[in-house]
Amino acid sequence: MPFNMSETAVMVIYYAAFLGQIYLLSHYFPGRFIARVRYVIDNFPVKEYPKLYPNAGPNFAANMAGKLKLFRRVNNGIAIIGLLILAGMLGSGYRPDPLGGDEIFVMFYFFLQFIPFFIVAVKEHKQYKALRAAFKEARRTADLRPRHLFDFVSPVAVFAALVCFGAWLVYYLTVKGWDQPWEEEVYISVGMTTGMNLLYAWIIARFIYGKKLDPYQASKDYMKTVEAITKVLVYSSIGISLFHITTVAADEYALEAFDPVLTSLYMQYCVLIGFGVMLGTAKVEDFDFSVYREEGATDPGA
Amino acid sequence: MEIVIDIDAEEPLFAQLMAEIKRAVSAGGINPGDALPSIRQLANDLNLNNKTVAKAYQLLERDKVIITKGYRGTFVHPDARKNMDFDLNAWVAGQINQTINACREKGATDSEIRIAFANIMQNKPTAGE
Repeated sequence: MPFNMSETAVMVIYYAAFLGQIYLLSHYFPGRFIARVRYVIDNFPVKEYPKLYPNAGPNFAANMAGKLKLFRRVNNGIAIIGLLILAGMLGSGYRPDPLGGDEIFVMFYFFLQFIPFFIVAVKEHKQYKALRAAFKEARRTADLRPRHLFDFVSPVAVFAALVCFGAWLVYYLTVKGWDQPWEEEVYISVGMTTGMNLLYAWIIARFIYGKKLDPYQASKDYMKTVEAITKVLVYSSIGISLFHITTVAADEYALEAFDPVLTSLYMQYCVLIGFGVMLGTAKVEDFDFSVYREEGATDPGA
Repeated sequence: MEIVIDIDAEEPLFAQLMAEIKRAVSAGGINPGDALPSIRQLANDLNLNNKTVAKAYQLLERDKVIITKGYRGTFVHPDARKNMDFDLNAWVAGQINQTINACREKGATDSEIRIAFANIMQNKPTAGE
């Protein structure tokens, strides 16, 4: 075992990481998400804010409550599956393969956990599409300040992302050997990671300079959303590079037994960054929902 | 500083945009030397065609309210507030009015003035050439 650790110690770390993954993805963040949606539905009902719900039917509130309950149950079910897998591992005396490869199970379980969020993302995309289709406002506003990348994320973070990417590239190619022909896997790995970073850069540029997803959204709220997305993608880029560096190092120094733990921690990092920054920066409580009110409606709080 | 345009208004969109930028400059919302958003950013934010914003910027640059510095972007002209006092449209109307009055004094009919004006605008040879 690596670092002269006992098998039990390695397994404790493994179970702790896996439990953390179950808790974060199938309990904590689903709960935060449900609370966020409930806050919007309870405080900004269809009757007073019809523009927010372009496809709302007659029983919208009841339907949404049912969907949120289903979302909670599905996540609970996935959490139970995870706990059963852990119990099965404990019962059968499972030990991760010292040569690595068991991280594939962690990834499969992560993808299972991600399914409810993927469905939510598809629904969100449809909601934005419906908002744009319903947008008939003649009055349009814009801020006269130019937007730049560093208005939304610190130059240090961007620099760190570039340095981490460069460090991974140099380290990876050094391990693979500069003086010998590279295998296909090297080109794929370099191409995919570079492509991923370029995709992130494109998405950031699209949000900073492109059209708003929600045409009703107030300028200051849109700025908060862009800030959150920019930070998430820059921090994710740092995470990807660090994860790749650690996995290459694990292979290099015979630490493959930690591959499942590293994979689980990386997935949790992505989710923590993704949800944490979005929920922390783009707080729904701070958003201006008056933009969704029907023209001529009075403010109940006034 | 936020600007507002109304796509249902009778005034052309580029003219509304020019007026809003001038209003922002005179109200102190943006100051001489301040950077302005790119054509693409403003067009996307207002959900307008890039050409509409480009036309407004072009006319504002002509009026020396804004200045374009190549790849660095577009800025409020250092003398924007002073230059905004000069209304080019009013000046053009005044000049043409003077010319038309002079023609009428010489006995030219409105029809003759209109034909001469159209020919000059279309670079066609006139009777005196």
